[in-house]
Amino acid sequence: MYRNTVHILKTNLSREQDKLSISDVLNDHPEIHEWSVDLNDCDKVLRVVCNGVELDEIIQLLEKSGYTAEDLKD
Amino acid sequence: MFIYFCDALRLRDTKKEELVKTEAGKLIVEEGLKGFSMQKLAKRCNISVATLYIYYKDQDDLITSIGVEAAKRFTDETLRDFSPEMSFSEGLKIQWKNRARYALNFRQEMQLYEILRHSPFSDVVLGTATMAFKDVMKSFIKKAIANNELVPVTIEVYWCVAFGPLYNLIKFHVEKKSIGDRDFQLTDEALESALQLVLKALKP
Repeated sequence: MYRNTVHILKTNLSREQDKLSISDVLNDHPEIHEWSVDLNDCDKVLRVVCNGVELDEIIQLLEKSGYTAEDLKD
Repeated sequence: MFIYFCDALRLRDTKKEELVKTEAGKLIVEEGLKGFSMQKLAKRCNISVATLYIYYKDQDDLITSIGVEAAKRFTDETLRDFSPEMSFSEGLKIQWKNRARYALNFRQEMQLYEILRHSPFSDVVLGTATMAFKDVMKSFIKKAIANNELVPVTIEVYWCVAFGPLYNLIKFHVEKKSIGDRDFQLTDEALESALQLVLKALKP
């Protein structure tokens, strides 16, 4: 059984429109409970609270929507 | 890979979280909201930016959170031992004591609160946190006017006369200087004599 995890990613999302473009794919994912993008931050940080979703899967979801994302290093 | 279990989130490091809040407040007071960034804050706290995002959804979430906390502290401290049922002179005396204590004990947080009150965060910061406070103050003033203990003036005039002298004395104290570069330290006697003049001015 998986427990909830939080992934923190650096992205190239830059406008509200970009957030809208990824909202369907993230909202529709059954194991993603909550997500937000900090457009004020220089790394345009995407924060995803999910259950058993690997970081790579989130990166792929964004790439399919035409964006880039990577793990925000510790 | 950056994974935090939500169990850990609930049990998150409260010491670290307090440090983040304190440093965030300091950073906003020193550099203003425009000078604030998660990168600068992380550096000051000696933690990673990613860790900040474990605690908060985004920059606005963090600023709102410390703003609401500051607003709550202001109202809690100002209303301590106070009741709107008190006589006007007794109530105002407690208000002065509370506001002076708050201003001196939470100086940096008070500056933060002032910045946020006059920023795009004002609605969310002032919203629920100060609602009860406003009601208490309104009822105190209304009762004082009805009991003929207070001259009926506009709220702005009331506030300036009631608290203007207090905040000026506090300002002198914080700056350690009054007019003409005179050394100044706030004493109970100075507070009391100013309060008596204010009460005299506000009585019908």
